[in-house]
Amino acid sequence: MKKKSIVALMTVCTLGTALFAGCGSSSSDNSSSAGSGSSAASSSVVSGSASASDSSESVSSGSAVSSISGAPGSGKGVKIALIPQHQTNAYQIALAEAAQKTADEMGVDLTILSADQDAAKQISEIEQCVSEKYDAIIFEPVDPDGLGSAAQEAADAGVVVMNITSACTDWQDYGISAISCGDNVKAGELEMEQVAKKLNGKGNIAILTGPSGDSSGLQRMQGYENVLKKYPDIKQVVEPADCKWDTAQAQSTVESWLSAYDLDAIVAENDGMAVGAGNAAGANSGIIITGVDGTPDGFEAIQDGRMYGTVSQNGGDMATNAIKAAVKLVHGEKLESNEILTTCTWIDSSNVANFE
Amino acid sequence: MEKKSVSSRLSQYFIYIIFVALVVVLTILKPSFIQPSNLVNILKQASINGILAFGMMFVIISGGFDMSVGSTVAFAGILAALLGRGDFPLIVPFLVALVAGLCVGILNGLGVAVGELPPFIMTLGTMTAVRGLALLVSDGKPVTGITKAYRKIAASSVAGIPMLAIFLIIVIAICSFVLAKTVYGRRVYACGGNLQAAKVAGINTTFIRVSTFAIAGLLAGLSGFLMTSRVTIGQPTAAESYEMDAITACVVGGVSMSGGVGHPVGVIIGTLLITVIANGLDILGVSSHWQKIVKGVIIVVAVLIDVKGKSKKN
Repeated sequence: MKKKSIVALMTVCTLGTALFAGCGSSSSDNSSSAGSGSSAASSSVVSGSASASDSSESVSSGSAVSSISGAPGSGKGVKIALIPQHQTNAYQIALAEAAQKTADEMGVDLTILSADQDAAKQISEIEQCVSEKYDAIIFEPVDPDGLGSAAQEAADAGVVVMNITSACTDWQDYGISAISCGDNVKAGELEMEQVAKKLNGKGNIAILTGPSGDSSGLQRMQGYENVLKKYPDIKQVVEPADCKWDTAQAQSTVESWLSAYDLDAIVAENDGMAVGAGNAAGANSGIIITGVDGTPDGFEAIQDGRMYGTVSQNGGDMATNAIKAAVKLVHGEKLESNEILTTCTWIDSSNVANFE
Repeated sequence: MEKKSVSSRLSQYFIYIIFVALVVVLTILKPSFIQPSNLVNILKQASINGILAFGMMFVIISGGFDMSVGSTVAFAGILAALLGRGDFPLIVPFLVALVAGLCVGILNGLGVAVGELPPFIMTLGTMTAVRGLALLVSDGKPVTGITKAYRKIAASSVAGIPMLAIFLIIVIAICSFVLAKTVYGRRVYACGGNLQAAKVAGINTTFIRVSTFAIAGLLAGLSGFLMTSRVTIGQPTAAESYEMDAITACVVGGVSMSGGVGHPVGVIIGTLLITVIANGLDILGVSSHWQKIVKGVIIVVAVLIDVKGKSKKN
C-alpha cells in the first residue's frame, strides 16, 4: 500500500515537472508580450491607473506636464527594449502591461526583458540590445551608480537611451536623453502629510523601510523627513526597521513593536510591508498604517480596514509616457522637458473602489 | 557511541546558557520582553521557521542539505492562496500545498540519492526553478482575496496558544518521536554517519535519503499553507532565504553539517534563539543592521563553543 502510494506520488511529480517544463518554455517565448497573456485582473490595474490620472490632474506635482502626445500608429517600425529591474512585483508587472498596451496602439515593436535585480545582467542586456540595433532602450536601473557607462556606450552607438521609474545618478552626463519617473520624495511627503493630518500633528510613529541602500526607499525617507520637520510633536519612537519590502518580516517586526511601544501610526515605504503591519495590528485597530505603490494587496487591506491609505505613483502612466517620448526622440523630435514626472495620488477608503 | 551522546549533550548545554543569558539580558533591558503578549509573539514568529528547521534536521542528519525550502514555501503558499479564495473547501488548498511540497522534496531526493548529484547542486537547481514556478503560477503578482476562514487559521489561538504554535508542537512531537524511537530514525542517523557502512548493513539508503528530502518538502508545503494564512496573501517572492534561517536553527542547535549528529531539543532551542534575537532587538528598537551583526556573531560563537566543547571531551 505504502509503496504503491509512493509510486503514484512519484508519477504525479514527474508528470507535474514535465507539464511545468512545457509551460515554462512557452511562456519564455511570450515574454516579449508579457501583458497579452494575463487576464482580467491585470487589465483592471491598467484601467485603475488610467482613472487615477484623470482624477488627479489637479494635484499635478511634477515639474513637467505628465501627458505626452503620441498618435496611434506613429511608432511603426520603431524597435524599443524595456528592461525593468525585475518582473516579480505587481508594480513592475502593471508597468510592463501598460507599456505593451501603448506600444500596440502606436505600432511600436516592443521587447520586455527582465534584469532579475542583477546589475551585471542588465548591462549585458543593454549591450545585447545595442548589437541587435534597437532604436531605443528604456531601462529601470538596478543600481543608480552602476549602469551609467553601459548607458553611455549605448548612446554613443546612436541608440536613444531613457530611464524609467528611477534614474541613474547624474543621468544627463551619461547620454541618457530623458527619464520618466514618479517622484519618490513627493510620494513620501504626500504619505507623511496624510498621516500627520490624521494625527492632528501629534503622536508616536514608526517607519518600515525597504532594503538598505535602495534609492527609491531612500528618496521616500527623504520625503518623510521633509514633512516631519514641520511637525515637532510627531515622534519616531523606534529606529526605522529594514523589512526588505517583505510582508512576513514587517508583520513580525510590528508584532514585536506593539508589545513594547504605544504607536499611533506606522508608515511603510511600500504596500507589502504596510499589509504586514496591518495584519499585526488587526483591522480597525486605530493605528494609522500607510504604504506606497497601490498594489492589489494594499487595496484589499484598505478596504477591510487594516490599512488607512496608500500613495500611487501611477506606474502605468510612466510606461505610457516613456514609450511615447522614446518614439518622439527616435524620430528626432524634441521633448518639452527631459524629466517626465507622473503625479502622486492618495488612495484611501473613500476612493479605493476607483482603482481596483 | 556512548561518548558521542555525552558530548553532544554538553554542546546543548552551552546553547542553553546562551539562550538563557539572552532572555535575562533582554528582560533587564526591556521588561516588556517577558510579557505574555510578547511570548505569544515569539511563539508565532518561531512557528514557520521551526517547522522548516525540523524538516531540514532530517535532511542534514542523513548527510544532505536543502536549499530549496524557501522557494517551496512560496510555491505552496501561492497554490494555497489560489485555491483558498472560497471556490473549494479549505482542505483542498491544504492538501495541494502539502502535495506540492512533497513533490519538490521527492524530486530533490531522487536527484541526490538516485542521480548522485551533490545535494547543494540539486537543491540549488530546484530552489531556482521552483521560485520560477511560483512566479509563473501567480503571474508575478501577490494573490489576494483568501477567505476569512483561511485567514483565521493563523490568526486564531486555543487556550492562549496561537494556532501556528500548535502546528509547530505537533510537528515537533511527531518528528522527535520518529527520529528518536523508530527504526527509521536510527537509519537516518546511520545514513548520515557513514553511508557506505549503512549500505553494507543492508539499509535501503536510497529510500532513506529520498524520504528525508520528502519530509523537508512536505513540511515546506505545510509552512507555505500557514504562511499564506498568516500574511493573508500569497506572495511569489515570500520566504526568500528561509532555508538559511532553518539551517541556522539546526547548526546552532548542534546538528552537524557533516551528518549523523543532532537532537530535536537542540533544534527547538536553535529556532527559539533566532526568533528571540530578532524579537528582542525589534523591541529594543535596535536598527536592523545591528540585528544582522548580532545574529551572525551568535551563530559563529554558538558553533565555536560547540566544537570546542566536543574536542575537549574527546
